[in-house]
Amino acid sequence: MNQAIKRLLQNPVSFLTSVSADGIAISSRIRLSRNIAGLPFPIAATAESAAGVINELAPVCSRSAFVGEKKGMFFEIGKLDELERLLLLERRLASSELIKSKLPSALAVSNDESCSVMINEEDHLRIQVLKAGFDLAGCWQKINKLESELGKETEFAWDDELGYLTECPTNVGTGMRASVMLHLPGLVMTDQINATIHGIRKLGLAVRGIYGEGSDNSGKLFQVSNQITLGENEETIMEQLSAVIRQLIEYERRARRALLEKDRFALLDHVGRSFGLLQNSYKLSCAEAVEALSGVRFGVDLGLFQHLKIDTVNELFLELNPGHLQMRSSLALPESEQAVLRAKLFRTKLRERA
Amino acid sequence: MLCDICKKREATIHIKEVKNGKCVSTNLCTECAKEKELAGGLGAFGFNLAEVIFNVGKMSEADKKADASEDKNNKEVREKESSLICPECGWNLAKMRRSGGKLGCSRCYTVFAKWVSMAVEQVQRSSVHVGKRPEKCGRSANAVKLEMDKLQLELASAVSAEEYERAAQLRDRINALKAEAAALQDATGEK
Repeated sequence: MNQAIKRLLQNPVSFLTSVSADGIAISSRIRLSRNIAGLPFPIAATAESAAGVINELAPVCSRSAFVGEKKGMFFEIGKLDELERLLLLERRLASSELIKSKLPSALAVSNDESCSVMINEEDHLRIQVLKAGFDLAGCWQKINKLESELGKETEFAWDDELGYLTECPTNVGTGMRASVMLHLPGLVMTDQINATIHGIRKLGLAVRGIYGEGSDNSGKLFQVSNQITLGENEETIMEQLSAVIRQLIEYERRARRALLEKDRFALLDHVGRSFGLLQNSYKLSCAEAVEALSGVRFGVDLGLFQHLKIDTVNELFLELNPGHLQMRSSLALPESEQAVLRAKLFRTKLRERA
Repeated sequence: MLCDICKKREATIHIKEVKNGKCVSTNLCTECAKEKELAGGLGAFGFNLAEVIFNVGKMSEADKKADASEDKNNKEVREKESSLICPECGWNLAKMRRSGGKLGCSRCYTVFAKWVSMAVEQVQRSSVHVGKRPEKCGRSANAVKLEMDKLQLELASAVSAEEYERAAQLRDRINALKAEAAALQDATGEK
């Protein structure tokens, strides 16, 4: 196994385990797209020019105070096997586009996994900062420094009118996508979620499942992000997004109160059954586990479990994924055996805490 | 009035939307409106970037018929456009279409400026960047002016809402921008 991957497996994920007071907003993320001036974007790159991009950026990353040699890890994607790549994806350090890339691509990660720099994804650089809870301002503060640091040693593709130039004009300008991951079981259970999503989209924001583009709302988890990248500065974009998130959290709280008052037994039943399923199963599919864990998380957040902490639940959201399960057993397993392993993971973890 | 998408047929559907306080009007012919509807509805969200470029680059059956009767001048322009190639990376409209509107390099933004600005108009708030800049690049006079205009508006609303503290902060920022604009003017004047 790759040494750095081994380190990752033992690493507690900072954006999941350092818990914010709020159980609704799980994590916040900002990413910036940048390209090196004078080189073709990845979509038009040759293997040679792409390798040139890595050669230019690898030393810049290694000197970084955030993701540099002393502070982090560096991966050449081509040298990793399929499971190792999956692990990076599940930890949200790499995108599926990066791990599937046919070009030479790479990834630099800070030790606490809060910062990562993807090289030769859709753009030469995709810089990302993840933080626990609802903390876009904290993400921006950090990524702003990290970006400036990288920009001191590299000339980014830039146009006076259009700002930072990106492979896709939907990212041009700030190149910034800010998003917050939310757990919204209250809005789902009171049937308000579709109307809410519709409303958010009308405001020009995007709502997606946790696994990004095209994924559904499994686990009642949603990612809300900005769409516009040009014509407003970063602070304004974040403020507009934050205003919507704050409102969304308030709606979720209201829905939870309504459930507790009017439909208490339906709520308790949902949480109890979810817990029972996870505690007593001998085979669990990924989708089944995510749904049930979402129910348990809801219960934990409402204070229905005394010994189960929300960071344990957050961690289980990561551990139940196929890449993590298989890496922990150091074996590539067929799905049916993964299901057995997953059920065992939950039986053990929930017995410990129940 | 001609349709905003095909720019050929008479527009029969007129949509007015308020985006960020500004009134934006869209004028479509029945055919294009129908296509847009199928692609996920009208309105800001159902809109797909690739579609704008599709509609320009791809010739539908209707386009081909129209093309046959089109005068020679227009046809030449069209042919010239479809053979447009970025000298830097070899990108062309066909590749752009296939990739859903992506570009091959920085130079493409100039070569395919017409399509880029159409895409930008549809998905972005304005066509001028106002956020973070590389340290090495100063701000363009246009960007300074744009930010100044925006702050002036904010200032007016702050004053009418009697938020004097905020108004004072805004006034200071506007004054700083004025100084920056003057310095920029001097610099370009010297050149």
